[in-house]
Amino acid sequence: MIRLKNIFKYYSNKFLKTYVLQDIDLDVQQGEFLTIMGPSGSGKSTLLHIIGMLDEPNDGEYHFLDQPVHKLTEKQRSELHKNYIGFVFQSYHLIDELTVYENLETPLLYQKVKAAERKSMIADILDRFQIVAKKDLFPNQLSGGQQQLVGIARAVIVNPKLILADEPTGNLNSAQGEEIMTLFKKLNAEGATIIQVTHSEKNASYGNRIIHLMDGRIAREEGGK
Amino acid sequence: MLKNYLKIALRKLSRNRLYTVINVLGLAMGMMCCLFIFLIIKYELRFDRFHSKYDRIYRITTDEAINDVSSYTMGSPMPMAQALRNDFPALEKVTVMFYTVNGLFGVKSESGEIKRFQENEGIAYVEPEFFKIFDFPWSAGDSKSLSEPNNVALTKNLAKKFFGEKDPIGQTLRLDNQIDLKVVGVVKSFPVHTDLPFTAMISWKTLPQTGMNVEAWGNMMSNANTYVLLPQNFSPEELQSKLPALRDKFQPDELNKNVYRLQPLGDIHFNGRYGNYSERTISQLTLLGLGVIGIFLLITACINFINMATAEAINRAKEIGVRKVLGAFRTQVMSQFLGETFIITVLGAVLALVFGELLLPVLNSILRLKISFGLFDNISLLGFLAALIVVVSLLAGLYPAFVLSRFAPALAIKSKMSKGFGGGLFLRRGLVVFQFFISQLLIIGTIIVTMQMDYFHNKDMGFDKAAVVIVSLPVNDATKLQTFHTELLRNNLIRNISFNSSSASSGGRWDADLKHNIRGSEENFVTDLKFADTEYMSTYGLQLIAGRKYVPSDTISEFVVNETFAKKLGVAPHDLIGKMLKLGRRPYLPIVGVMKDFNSTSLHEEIRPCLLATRRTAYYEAGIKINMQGASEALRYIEKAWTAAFPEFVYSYEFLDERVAGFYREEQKMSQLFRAFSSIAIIIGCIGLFGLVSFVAAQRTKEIGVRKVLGATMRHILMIFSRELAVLIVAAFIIAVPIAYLIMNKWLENFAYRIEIGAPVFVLAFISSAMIAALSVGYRAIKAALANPVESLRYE
Repeated sequence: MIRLKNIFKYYSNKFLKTYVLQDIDLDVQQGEFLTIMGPSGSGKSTLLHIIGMLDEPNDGEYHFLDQPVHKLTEKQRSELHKNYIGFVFQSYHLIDELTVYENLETPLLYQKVKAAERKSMIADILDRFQIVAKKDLFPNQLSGGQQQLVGIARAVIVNPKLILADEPTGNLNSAQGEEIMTLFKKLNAEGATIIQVTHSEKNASYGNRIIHLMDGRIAREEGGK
Repeated sequence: MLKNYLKIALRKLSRNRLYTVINVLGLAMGMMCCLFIFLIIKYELRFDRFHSKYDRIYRITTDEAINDVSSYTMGSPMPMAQALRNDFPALEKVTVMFYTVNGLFGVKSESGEIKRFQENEGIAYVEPEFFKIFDFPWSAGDSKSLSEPNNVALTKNLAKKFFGEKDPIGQTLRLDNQIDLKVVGVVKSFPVHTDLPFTAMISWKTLPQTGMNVEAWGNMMSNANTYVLLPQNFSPEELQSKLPALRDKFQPDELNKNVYRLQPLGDIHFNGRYGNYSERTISQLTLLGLGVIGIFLLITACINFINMATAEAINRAKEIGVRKVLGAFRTQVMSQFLGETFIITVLGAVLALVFGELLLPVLNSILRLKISFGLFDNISLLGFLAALIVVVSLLAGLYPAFVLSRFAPALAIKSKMSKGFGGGLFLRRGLVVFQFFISQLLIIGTIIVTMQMDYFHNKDMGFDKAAVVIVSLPVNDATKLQTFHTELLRNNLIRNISFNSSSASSGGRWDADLKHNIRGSEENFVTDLKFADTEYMSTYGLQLIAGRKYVPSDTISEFVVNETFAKKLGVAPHDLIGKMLKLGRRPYLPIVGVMKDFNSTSLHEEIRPCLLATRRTAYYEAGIKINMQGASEALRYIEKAWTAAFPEFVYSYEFLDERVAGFYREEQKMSQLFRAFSSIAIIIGCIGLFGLVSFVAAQRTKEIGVRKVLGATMRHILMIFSRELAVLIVAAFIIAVPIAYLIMNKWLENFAYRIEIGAPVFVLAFISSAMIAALSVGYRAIKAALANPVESLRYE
């Protein structure tokens, strides 16, 4: 599903190039639950953003579902990304001015889903995540765990083939974290490919493959294949 | 999608009240000014446009060259129309008309009692052709009947005023107690936007009954006009080229060759050189200037918006990042922000209409216009408003939308947006400089216009303009004048009375061509002429510098001249005493006195030679010097005495200082407009600064907290805010000064007597704009400086 080949990412500061990612090769199959681990500054988030097409590598090839992402225009990439990828963030990133219902609706609007269909999809997801009662609340009226629940619901509402999660439990207490991770496990079982970035060994254990990043390189790999 | 945008926009706006209020208010004021300026320009451009033959109508004007001084008049010799008709049969229509300033109409009521109406405008003597050239439709009667003498057509309004609900056709009127007129037609009341604002049109053939010689070519009056309607495809240049020959044919002996010109109807409202009967011309340059001010104000308001939006961008970075992650295209983000701008602009426009509706009467009274809003029956205004909304939305919204949508989602989400990223700091500074530039330009303009106005009011014109009441003398019969005079003198509130042809300073001028022999041979000399009794000089406080006053007389017997008269002749004042002048066909008569110079017209013009003489039959006015302590009693007394002396006329009076102030009405309007627009520009600028500083203060709360913890005093913190601002103000000032200087100097050239633009003007402008800036920034800056650092750092 994902094939990264010789990916380089660096920031130039006058004469100095600071490498964030160096020569990354990575294949991810459909249905995998991959965890990216590593210390701060090892390039985990950057790698996730490149996979999620929010950032571009300086060098290297990226094939997503057999499409050469590195050759596509911004618009094509945007199209690909919005149809196949869902994002979950450490700090939830809900839109403060919108209610839970409207936050869930936003990606559907960008996918030009018809009104009636939107309604049923949102009703469905609210139900699945058991947050029907919260649908008219604004994000700041929810607890962190509830916000992240909405964040995930928003990511999966469009049935993405790939879910990218950047420290999804980083701001949550352990009980909430567990709940979220169980949810990811379930989504993975239902067929979604998941890539998460985390510091926590415990969270990593929910997945079936781990790569360790160190100074922008893949240092070692566990499980999988 | 739209609903989602709208929802988020409205929630954002209601949550960010300060931001919303500042933007809406600023845009509303800018847009209101634009609407006003649009209305003014449209109103002015409409003048006389409604005539279907607009493009083919020309007025014949006259350029007279007397000695070396040229003067321009909209008048032409009265026999010219007939001459043109005879010599140029190809012309479609030619007509002559005569406008009189005032007339007294007597209407006999059914009880036989005579009601009198003093009309101070709108009376014209016209031929039937007038209505063939201009589109003033008749609602009753036929314009042909104006070919007979003693017929008159009235506008609907005037007819109603005279006769009430009675049918006016066939009724009779008596004009100035001497001419009987029969009403033969009713004309639809003329629209306000015409320079021919007539209400009573008397047949041309009636004019000789007033004593006017309508056959004389030499009888040049500015209110005798010739209008020509050219046939289709007939070039005005062709007729123009034949006018000199016409002049030579009919005026072969004239010393001073007049130049007759064809002035297009479309030029009449805009050409101040010749004037018109709405007594108001406005140059296209002034209209252009207004337009530019309007655009400036709008830009200022848009700049506020751009500044605020880009400053606020950082706060919105996260939302944009999220939206992009959720699959929004850049264009979708842009359209969302443009949509928000659009909503703000619409709110601004609604508010602008509300402000406009409230302030329109003020504008009308300042400008003495009759503009109405009539939004819904005024398609062009609606269209303009719509266009304005679109232009402002784009102007204000495009750049912020561009900047905001450019955010890279990965960075935006991580809140890694640096301060400068919110859209070029350079650009924002540039915009603030531009705003200051505009407001300083307007402030300098306002100061200079105001100073010039003060100069007009306070300059010593060489005579005493205080406490002089002017009343007209409708008849100059010797006994009546004597009765009036004696009656007035019985009241001790009345100090001096002078009967004369015009006050010491007056709007009109009486030119006289005289002969003298002072330099050895007989020469021609042109001078201003005033006829006045012996009390003239004491009433108006004019001073003799040589010789004596003339002796009382009913006819011209002796002359008093002014200093300039002597100067122009190159003779010392005391040497002029006893010299002889010949005025018209009269014999040579002596100069007996020379008086100090005074401004006999407005300060637009230099002092000209002036000649004073007695001549009872030319006394049209009385100047009455009163004791201002008892002004109201004195006025009542004058009215009583006047009405007793001239029972068949309608009384009115004027103060000399008001008359003088009236010379500068256009400038007065200009200065009021300037003041209004610069206040608005300043308010918009202040709002913008206030908003900007509020944001900067919010963003730098932490920095300020840290600085205070490190020991910064209040003064240090205030410096942070004021240093940059000071640089911007100075930069704007450096640009504004030379431009303002050039423009205002050009404007001052309109006046023979004018102020010098000196450094104090600019210093004052600089200080005031710096003060205004300091005030709008100060509150927020002090608040930020006083904030407890513990509070601001707690959440970090």
